[in-house]
Amino acid sequence: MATVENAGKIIRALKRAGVNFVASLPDASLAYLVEGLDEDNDIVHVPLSREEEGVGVCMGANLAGKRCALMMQNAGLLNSCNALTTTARQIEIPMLLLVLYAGALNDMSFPMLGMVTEPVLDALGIPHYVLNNIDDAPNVVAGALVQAYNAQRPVAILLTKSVL
Amino acid sequence: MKRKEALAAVSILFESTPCFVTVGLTWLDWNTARPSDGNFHLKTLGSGSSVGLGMALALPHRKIAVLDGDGAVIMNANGLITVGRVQPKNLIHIVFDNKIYESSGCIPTASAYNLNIANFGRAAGIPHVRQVDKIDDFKTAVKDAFESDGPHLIVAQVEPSGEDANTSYSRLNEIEGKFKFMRHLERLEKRPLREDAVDIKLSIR
Repeated sequence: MATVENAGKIIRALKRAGVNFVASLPDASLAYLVEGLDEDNDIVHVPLSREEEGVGVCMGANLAGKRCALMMQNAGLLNSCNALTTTARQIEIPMLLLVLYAGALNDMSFPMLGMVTEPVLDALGIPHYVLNNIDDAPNVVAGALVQAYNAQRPVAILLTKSVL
Repeated sequence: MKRKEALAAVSILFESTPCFVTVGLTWLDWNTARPSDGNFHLKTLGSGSSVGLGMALALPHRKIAVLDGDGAVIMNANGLITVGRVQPKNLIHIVFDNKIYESSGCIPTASAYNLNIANFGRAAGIPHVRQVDKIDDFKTAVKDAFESDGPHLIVAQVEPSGEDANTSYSRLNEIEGKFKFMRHLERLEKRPLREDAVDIKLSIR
């Protein structure tokens, strides 16, 4: 079960890395994170209607100097593939992708989604890291953001339900 | 009216406003009407409302414009719903509705049949929506959008370009276009906006 405490740890990790703009679409496991972001005064939070919009929303903000993250379930990652390719990769826009890893090891939901997630990220040329331990959040978030700017592309952090 | 004439009639109103422009003929027509580093060539069809929203929220003191087409808007119609929900006061979204996918074989779009884009925008909660089909009305709508709070959605009914279609090619490399656009924004904002990996790394304690 997701906890408010873990959501708070992830939001603190984002703020430590200077992330100040997050676009999101909810999942049951992301609900505390969505609520926490809504209440946070240091982060602009944009509620999306479909995940692919978020790539464009983050690009618009990034061009104006914001450090951006797009938070969604892995089904939404699949919805976003065209924009990730023709916007984020083609125009070289750095951003974090915070992706709920449905169908991951020990998760019974959406097994097909779980199986295709990492191969799809590989095909898109998007580096990805699985967050299995909430105590690793500060280093993984900061490291992924540095890599996103260094490689000029999105970098994905796959959030297993154990860290939410 | 033709899109090319409509754009030429309003280009002076934009001054140095950042403009996100949909891929295809609209980009060629706008670059002729207002050549500027402040024009950003969108590569993902339909992303205009989303990119414009992101920048409008990041720079709330500055008008941000999107020049779009009916085919593109229909492809990401949920973008209008998000704009209606978030209500960015500084966003001006202009849709040239020629009722065909003009850059993709001239096949009719849904706006040729069942869809009224202006009504869709109103239903999505966008407070300032205008539909115009004459140059003077278009000019008035754009002027009002620059002078008042939005979000604004202007749906301009235009004829297909037909034989007047711009047949040139855009030669701008999109990465170079991005850097030119950011430098333009930095000049407008009078502050640095672009960060590199070293900036990010040094900022994290």
